[in-house]
Amino acid sequence: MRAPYTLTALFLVAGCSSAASPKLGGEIAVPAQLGTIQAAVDAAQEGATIVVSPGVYKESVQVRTKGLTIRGTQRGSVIIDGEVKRANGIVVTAPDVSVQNLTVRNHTLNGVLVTGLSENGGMGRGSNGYTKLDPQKFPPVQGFRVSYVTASNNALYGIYAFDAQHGVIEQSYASGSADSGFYVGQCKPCDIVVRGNVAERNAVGYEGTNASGQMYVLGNRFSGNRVGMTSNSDYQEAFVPQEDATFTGNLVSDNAEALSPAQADGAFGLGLGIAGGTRNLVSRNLITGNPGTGVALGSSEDMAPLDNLFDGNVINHNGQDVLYAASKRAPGRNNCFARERCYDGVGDPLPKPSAPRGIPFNQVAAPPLQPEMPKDPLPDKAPNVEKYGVPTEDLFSDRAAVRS
Amino acid sequence: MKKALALLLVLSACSSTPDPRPLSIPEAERLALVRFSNYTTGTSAFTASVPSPGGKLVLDGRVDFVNHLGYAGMRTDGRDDQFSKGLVQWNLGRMAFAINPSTKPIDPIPVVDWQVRELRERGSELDGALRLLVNLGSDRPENAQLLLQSSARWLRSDKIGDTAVDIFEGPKKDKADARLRYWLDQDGKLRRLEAKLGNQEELAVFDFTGSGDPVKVIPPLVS
Repeated sequence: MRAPYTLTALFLVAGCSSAASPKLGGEIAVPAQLGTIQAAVDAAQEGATIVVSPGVYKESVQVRTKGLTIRGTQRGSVIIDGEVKRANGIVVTAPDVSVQNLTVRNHTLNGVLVTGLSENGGMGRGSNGYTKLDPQKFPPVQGFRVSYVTASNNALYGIYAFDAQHGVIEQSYASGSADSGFYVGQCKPCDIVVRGNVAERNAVGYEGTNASGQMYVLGNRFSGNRVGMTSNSDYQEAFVPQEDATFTGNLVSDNAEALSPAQADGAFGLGLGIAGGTRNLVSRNLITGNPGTGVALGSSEDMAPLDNLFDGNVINHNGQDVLYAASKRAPGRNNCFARERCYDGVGDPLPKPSAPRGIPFNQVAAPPLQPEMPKDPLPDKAPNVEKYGVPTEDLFSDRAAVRS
Repeated sequence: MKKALALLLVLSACSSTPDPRPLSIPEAERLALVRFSNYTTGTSAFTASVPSPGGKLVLDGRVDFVNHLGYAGMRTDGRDDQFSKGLVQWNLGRMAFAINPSTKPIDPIPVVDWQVRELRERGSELDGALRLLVNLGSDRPENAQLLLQSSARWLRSDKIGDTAVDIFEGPKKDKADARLRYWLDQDGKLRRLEAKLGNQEELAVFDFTGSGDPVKVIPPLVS
C-alpha cells in the first residue's frame, strides 16, 4: 500500500531536478541531443541556437525564451507538420527570436505566429474603434526575424506577425493559405520589413492590417494568388487607421489563381488593394496582368483613403489599371498618382467579380523547391528602400510555380 | 472539523460558478475552429427548437456544411393538423417546403409538391434559423488572435448527457446584435447552438447529434 506514495515522491523529485537542471547554450541538435524541437526550446538558454535535422516534426512549438534561433539544416525536409489538426507550427512570444530555413505546413491556424498577445485578450470592439492597446498588459513582441521559411497549406496565415514590432520577414515562401500568405497586423510604429518573399496560390499574398509606421514591403513576388497585396484599416484590431506604410519594388501580377482557397469576401483578380489607408507610399512596383483591377483604393467603414502617394509604378495590362473606390460614407482626399492625377471625394464602387470556387487550403499543390539559407550572415535589417527599382516579371520566378 | 469541511465545500461550490470571462488562448483557438470543424464533418444530424409567434417549430434533419444545404422534417409543437407538418429543404438563399405527415426527413426524397421561396433577411424566426444552420460551415478557421481580443467570452461549463462542454458566447457584431452561444465539447465539436431569433425572448436551440448521410439536393433548389 505504501508503494504509490513512494512513486509519487519519485515523480516529484524528478520534476524538481528537471526544472533545476542547467540550461543548454550554444547549439542544440535535434533530434541528436533532444528528440523534439519543443524539448530543445525548453532546455535552451537565452541566445541559444537549435539546429534541426531533416524529419517530419509533428509538434506545435511554443517559444518563450528570448533570443533563440531555430534553424533547419535543410529547408524543404525539416518539416513541422500540423497534420491539419494542430493550430500553429511555431508560436513566438519572446523577443529577438529567429526562425530559419525550415518548412511549416498543414496547420489549422498559422504556420509561424509571432505575437505579444497573451492570455485573456477580451479587449472588445468599441463602436468608435479602438486605438489604445494597453502596453502593460499586451506588450508587443520586440524583435523577430523569419528567414528562408516555407509555409504551405496553413488554414489562416502562412507567416503572421501580430502585436509585434522591430522585425524582418524575408526570403520566405507561402502558399495554400486560406487567408493571406504573409500578414502583419496591429503595430504602430511597426518597424517591420517584409522583403524578398514569394506568395502564390493563397487567397491573398500579403496583407497588412493596422500596420503603420516604418512598415516596409519591399521586393516581393505576390503573383498567382486571388488577391496580390492589401493594406487595410480594421476596427477589429487596435491602432486604426492604417497609415505610413511603404510598398516598393514588388511584383504584383496575375492574381487570378483558380487553384487556391477562396478569398473570404469573394475577391478575385485584384493586384493591390488599399482600404481606409492614410499616407502610404506605393512606388516602383510592377502591377500587371491582374484581370480584375490593378490598384483599388477605397474606404473601410468610416475610414477614408487619405494622402496616399503612387509614384514610379508600372501598372499595365490589368482589367482596369486603377480604380478609385472611396465611399460616400468616407470620401477620400489627395490620393495622387505621380503627383499629377489626384483622386478626391467619392469614387466608383468596386465591381464584384465572378470568382471560381476555391479549393480547400490543404489541397493546394505543394511548393516548388526553395533555396537554402546561405552560410553567410544575413544582411542588415535596414530597409534600404532606395535600392529597389521596378522589378521584372521574372522576379523570383525560379521560386514560383505559377508563371507570371 | 466536519462542519468546517462542509462549509469549505459549500464555499468552493459557490466560487466554482464563475462569472463570464474573456477567452484563454486555447479557448480562442477552439472557438476559431468551430465552423472549420463542421466543414470537415461534412453532414451533421441535428434537431432544432425554434420559438416563433405561431408556436414552437421543431425540426429534425441533417445539414451539409460543405454545400450549405439542409433537409429536415418540421412540425409545429402542440398542433396536429395537416398544415403543421412538412418537409423542408434549403440553401443559403432559398427554401422549399412540402406538406407531409413525416416529422423526419424521408430518403430517398419523395416526389412532392415543393413550394419554393427566397429566405427572408428579417422578420422570420424560421428563415433566421435555416440561414444560421447552413452558415455554420467554413473551409477555414476564424482568426483566433482577433477572437482573443474581441468581446467573445466563456460563460460556463456544463454537460450534454455525459459529454462535458464549455459554453462560449461569440463576439458582438453590433450593439443591438444578440450573441450566439456555442456549446463545445473538449475536441472542439459543436454540440449545441443557442440563438436569439427575431423578437422571441426564448432562445432557439440547435442540437448536433453526430454525422449524417449526405443530402441530395431537390431539383427546385438546383441553381
